[in-house]
Order: sequence, then structure tokens, then C-alpha cells
Amino acid sequence: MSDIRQLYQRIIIDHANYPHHYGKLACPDFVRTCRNPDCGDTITVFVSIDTDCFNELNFVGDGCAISQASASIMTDTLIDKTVAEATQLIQEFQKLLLGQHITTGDLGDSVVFGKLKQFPTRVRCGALAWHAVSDVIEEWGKRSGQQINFSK
Amino acid sequence: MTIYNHLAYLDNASTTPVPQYVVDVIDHYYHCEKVNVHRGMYKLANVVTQQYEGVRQKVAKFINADDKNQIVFTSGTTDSLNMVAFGYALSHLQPDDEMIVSVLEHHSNLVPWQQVAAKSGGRLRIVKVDGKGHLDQKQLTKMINRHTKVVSLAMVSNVLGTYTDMRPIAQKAHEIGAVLVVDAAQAVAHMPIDVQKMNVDFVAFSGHKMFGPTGVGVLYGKSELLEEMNPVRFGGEMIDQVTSRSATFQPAPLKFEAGTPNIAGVLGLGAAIDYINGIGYPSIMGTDHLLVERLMSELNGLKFVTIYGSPSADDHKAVVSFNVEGIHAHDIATILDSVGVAVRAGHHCAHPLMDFLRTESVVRASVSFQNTIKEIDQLVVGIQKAREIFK
Repeated sequence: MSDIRQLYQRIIIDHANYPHHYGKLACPDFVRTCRNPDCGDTITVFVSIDTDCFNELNFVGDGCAISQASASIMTDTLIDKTVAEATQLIQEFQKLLLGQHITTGDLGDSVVFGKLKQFPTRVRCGALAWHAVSDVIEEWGKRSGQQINFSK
Repeated sequence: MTIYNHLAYLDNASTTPVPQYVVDVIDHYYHCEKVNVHRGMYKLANVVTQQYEGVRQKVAKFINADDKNQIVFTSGTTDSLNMVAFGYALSHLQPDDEMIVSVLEHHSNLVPWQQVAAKSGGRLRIVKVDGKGHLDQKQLTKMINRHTKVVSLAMVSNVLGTYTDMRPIAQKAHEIGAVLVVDAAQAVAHMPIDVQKMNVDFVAFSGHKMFGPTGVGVLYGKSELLEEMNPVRFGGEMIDQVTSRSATFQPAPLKFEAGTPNIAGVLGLGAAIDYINGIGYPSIMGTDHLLVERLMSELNGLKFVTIYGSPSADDHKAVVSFNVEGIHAHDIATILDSVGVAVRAGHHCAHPLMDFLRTESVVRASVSFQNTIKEIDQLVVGIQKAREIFK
């Protein structure tokens, strides 16, 4: 049996209890809600992209500590990144959840979710907010005439 | 009894464990008798057909139906309810007719009726529950009117564990010519079902929630209603005569059992009934109650725990749903898993009830007579651990 504290590390509990960048943005360029139909967890991301940079990234949501902390830490990780950088980080995060080797160190505190692979029923909780942002990037690509597709 | 490698299994409302005896019956069929029913000329085919039809008789006796032909084998409660919705209700509903379900219903006793309403132009009405989770009988009485054609209700809620006495509701429904459909999925492992005493029109339940295998269930219907009801699946075994342009059908129940049935499942269901009869409902209900009483008293002692539905253990038929302040239900379930306790967390296929309870998800502990007090106590240890982690 995996030690449960490897999943519920202090940083995850802190982000779940005191999320960063929580709340709606007044005038976001993009709003995207993702819902996990199995458990009802919901994350809505609000994104402002200036030229090709994540200027502002906020979220609101309901759900477990994993989904909410993942969203909070994600905002810290992606704000001020370019769309290209964010795209790469999202792909790295997907690999991390699958237990694959990752090359970049830019995931910041989000690497804490590498432990999720030991708790397969909870992987989707950790991925929810990142899915929402990948949808936003695909939409941004459409609006700016670029084809960006994430494997989901 | 501990099962599943020392896991304290408290998710019996999802599905119950299967005793060895049931496995043996299924195993024997696959190893020694795996032939089809209703069609072989050889002796073994006849033997298995007799066993299969013997289970129909056994189910009839189990729920006190007066005729074995009132018992239709289905793939489970969902299948049974869909059959009534699309085979009976759809052809009996005119625009402006009404159907009634409650806010307690599992999606399997809600979504089919929504679909029938959309296809027929009829109206689906939802009766509420009171603060203790009991059906609002006053509202239901008002709601039943001359337009009502179907009332479909859970006998026991899969989230709150509340029991609904169907007898007065059947009487009201019958006074205006409506049928009463009972979703007994959550009841069948915990209390006897007597279709004649309840005087209900259709009853649906699943084998896998009563110590039987998955993929098999039962639809009981009164004879005249099954006669009126249309099959929703067509093919072999259910036909009488077939020409290249048309077909006539067997009488009930065979007209509802198109194709090769789940023979192993039906035989396993029969074995599960033997198993329940061997233990006896008085003993089952006594153990269920002791376990729920312990669980409720432990949870009531924790001021950070909210129990949904009635505060009384008597009102929880083997099911107790709760939340822990400041900790999401899924996190509780994961932490309980880490101390060897299996519970369900989520919306429990009952979104309207979650809205009614003003929550997104709850933790549900559901017992069977196979559980022990020690397992209940282990759950409480897990909740304390969750509090520690989230401090």
C-alpha cells in the first residue's frame, strides 16, 4: 500500500486550502470549464493571452484537494509563459502523470503530482485543470490561424 | 468476515461480494453443462432448461409472485426499468399525461422516464423528500391526478438509505389507473420483497446487489401488464412464428428474452437466492442494523461529520452517506482506502439528489451482513487520519 502522505503532501493541502489565483477575471480572453463526469469535479479557467503570452490565468472550481491544488499550482507554473512554453509544459505534465521521464525542470511545484501515478483512480483529478488550459490553447490556435492539438 | 485481501468492504450498495456457493454453481455450468436453453433435443439441454426455468420459479417464490411467468430475466435493474419505460409507458402515454419519480432516484430510474417524456410529449414530475430523507407523501398525494400514468420509485434510496412503504402509494396510483413501478435494487439484499402484499405493478432488481453475479436481473410485472407490454428487443427465442415479412411473439416472459439469455447469470442468481434464504432476512436485517447503529453513533460523535438524511439508524437501510468538514468526499475515500476501507464517494448516479442536498458529492458507506463492527471502527480510524492529514 502506498503511503497516503506521498499523495497528500503539505504543498498540496496548502494549495487546496489556500488556492492561488482563485476567482474570475473581469475581462478574460478565454473561459473554459472542464468537468469530470464520474465525480463531478469542476474547474473553470479564465485566461488573458497578450500576443502569445499567458498574462493572466485564474480559476474557480469545486472538487477534491487534488483537482483544486493541481489547478492552483498550475496557475503558478503557467503565468508569464508563452503559449509555446505552456504547450510544452502541458505535454510534460501529461507525461509526468503517466509516469514517463520528463526532460524539463520548468514544471515547478507541479512535479509533486508525479506521485499520482501510484493512485490511478486520482490521475484524472490532477489532470482536469490542465485539460482546461490545453483546450484554451487549441482555441487560441484556431483564432490565430494555427493548428494546435493535444493528445487527450 | 473479511474478504478481498483484508479490505473492509463497505461499498455493498455498489455491488455485493459473491459467496463461493454462487461461484461454484456458475463454474459447474461452464465446466460441465454449457449448453443452450429452450432449444436442444439432447437430454443435457433439457436439464439446463429445467434449471433455468427452476430459477424463474425460485425468483417468483422469493418475491411472492403468484406465477413464474411474471418473472422476466434481464441484464439488471437498468435494463428492467428501460423495458417498462419503452415497452409499456411509451405506448400508454399521451401528450399531457404525467409520470412521477422522486428526487431520490438513481439515474436508472430517472433518465429512462425523461426519455419517455421527451418522446411522448408527456410530463415528468419530481416529488421531493423531507429533511430526514423520507418521501414527501403529502406532495405525492397532491401530485397524483387523473393524468398520472406511471409512478416509479425506489424502495430504498441508494444514497440516504431511506425506505418507502409502497402499499399506500400503490393504492393511490391504482385509484386513478396509474401503474406503480418499484426500483428494488437497493432493497433486495436487505429486506424481503412481497409483490402481492405491496400490490405493486412492476418491480426491478439486480443479481449483483444480492450476492449474485453481474449482468443478470429481474423484472416482475403483473400478468395482464406483461401481456400488454411490448418487447423492446427482437430476435431468436422470443418469437412464435416468423415469415419473411412478419413475426408473432411468444407470451410473457419469453417475448422479453430475445437471444441466448445469460444462463450462467440466471443460475448464479438462483444460487444467490438460496444463499440469502439460508441466512434468512431476520438475521440479515439484525446484522445490518447493528452495523449501521455503530456507524451512526460513531459518526454522530464526530462534530465535523455531517450525516445526510435521517439522524436515526432505523431510517438507514444499510446505507449511510456523509461528508467531513473541509475535506472533499474523494479525498476521504482515497485516505480510507489507504487504511484498508473501501467506500464510494461521488454523486452516486443521483445528481438531482445531490442538488437537493446542496452538495456535489458525498461519502457513502454501505454494509452487508458480512461486515463486522471492527470494519466500521476502521472507517472511523480512517476519518481521523484524514483530519490529521488535512490539519
